[in-house]
Amino acid sequence: MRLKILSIATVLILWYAAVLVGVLALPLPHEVAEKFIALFFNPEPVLGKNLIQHSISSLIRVISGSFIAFFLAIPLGILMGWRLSVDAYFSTMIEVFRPIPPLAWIPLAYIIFAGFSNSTQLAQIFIVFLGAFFPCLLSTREFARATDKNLIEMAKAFRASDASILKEVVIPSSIPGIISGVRIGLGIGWMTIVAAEMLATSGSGLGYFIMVMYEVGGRVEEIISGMAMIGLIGYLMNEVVILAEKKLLRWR
Amino acid sequence: MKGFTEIMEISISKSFNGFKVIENISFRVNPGEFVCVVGKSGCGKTTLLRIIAGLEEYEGEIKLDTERIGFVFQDDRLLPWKTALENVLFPIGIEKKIEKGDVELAKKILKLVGLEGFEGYYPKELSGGMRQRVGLARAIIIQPDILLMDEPFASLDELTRQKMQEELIQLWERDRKTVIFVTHSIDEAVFLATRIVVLTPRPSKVAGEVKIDLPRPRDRTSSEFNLYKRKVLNLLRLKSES
Repeated sequence: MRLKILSIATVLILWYAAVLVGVLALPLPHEVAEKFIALFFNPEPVLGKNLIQHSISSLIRVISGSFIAFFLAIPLGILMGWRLSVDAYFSTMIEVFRPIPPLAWIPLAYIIFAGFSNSTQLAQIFIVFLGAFFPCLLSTREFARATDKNLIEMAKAFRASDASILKEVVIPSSIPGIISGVRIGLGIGWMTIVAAEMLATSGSGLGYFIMVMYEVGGRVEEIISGMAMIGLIGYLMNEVVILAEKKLLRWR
Repeated sequence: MKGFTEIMEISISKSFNGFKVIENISFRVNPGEFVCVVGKSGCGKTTLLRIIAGLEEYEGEIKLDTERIGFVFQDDRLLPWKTALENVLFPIGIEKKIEKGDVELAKKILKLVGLEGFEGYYPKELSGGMRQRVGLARAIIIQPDILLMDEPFASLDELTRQKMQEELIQLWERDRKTVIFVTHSIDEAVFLATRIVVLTPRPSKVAGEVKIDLPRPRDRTSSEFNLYKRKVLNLLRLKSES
């Protein structure tokens, strides 16, 4: 705990020092903090929304995109890890798409979804989907593949069917991989949504908020407040998953 | 319940990649017998059990008229995410929905193997001996006609091992299940078995059989006990040197 406080204090001291010496042309930490607290509940006039509202907009996009990703990646990862033939079939197409950064999809995504009424929202959810899908898939697959062969053999000795082996042995073995896949997927999804929001008129969202604050005249305090909010939410999402992990993996 | 009344007959050989591991192992097992299979490490004892359990291909013939086979492994092979009770229920759960009666039975068996009060413990919270007891409980809950045991006590310390042997015999005397127990410990074999089948080193054959005619509980330090140990040892040595 003491080191945690020291860690944050170091950042603040360096920030103060850099600004006061004159190497960093930014407002001081306590000035940003004041703005941050003000914007937390009170709407910022240009967009007419406070930080909580922007956060909720971003979170809805991230949660929709990444939950669709998890819904597909988890079963696929388990099947790929369990059966080499499934892996052989899917892995090539996956390896073709995986190296393309989700952000590189942004222009194409806006074109693909242009025909829909809520095209911006859909494109953004799609970008998050891409960001969350691959890490979750790979992590799940790795753990499914690493299922203890001795346990599978034990199940076979008791005449377990393939379906039982999958349900009783392979899936439980994959759960740690699923959880870390969800954690990484949410993290990357959160990063991609902010970027995706910067590139379109989203109306709301933390990325959009930061971009607009920049465009209306470099309002640094607002920009840093938005960034702080992104960091805070990212941190909290991670903590929630870690908490869930501790609950779910009591046997470890 | 359909009992195991037939005599079991084994006559098998086995090769791995063209390399003969089991030349020809053949022996019979009578219902209710406790047969120990003894041999040096790497002589194919485990392979023999895996073949009987249907986990491995083989050449030859096994006459065995049951599918109810219980297996106790050398490493406990408990599912780490299941509690002791859930692990015992595993063989039931893969066949049907677990009912209240099954849970009661599992608790009864856990009590029988000395684990009353540990039903809710995860494998990592149990000692090696306790984990083997759970493994044993899991094998007997299906009421097997034949129980296959692959050096189940090999990784335990001497005192725990002797205690487990004594408890296993008490269990066996209760309902006289047919047991095939693989071990490299001559002492263990003489203590447990009604009959010992001695295997030669690879490629393995049956070196000989020794019927153990000692009253129970057996005294490991008695001269008769040691006489039997000598007999088994001679069979093992003879074939190793030739």
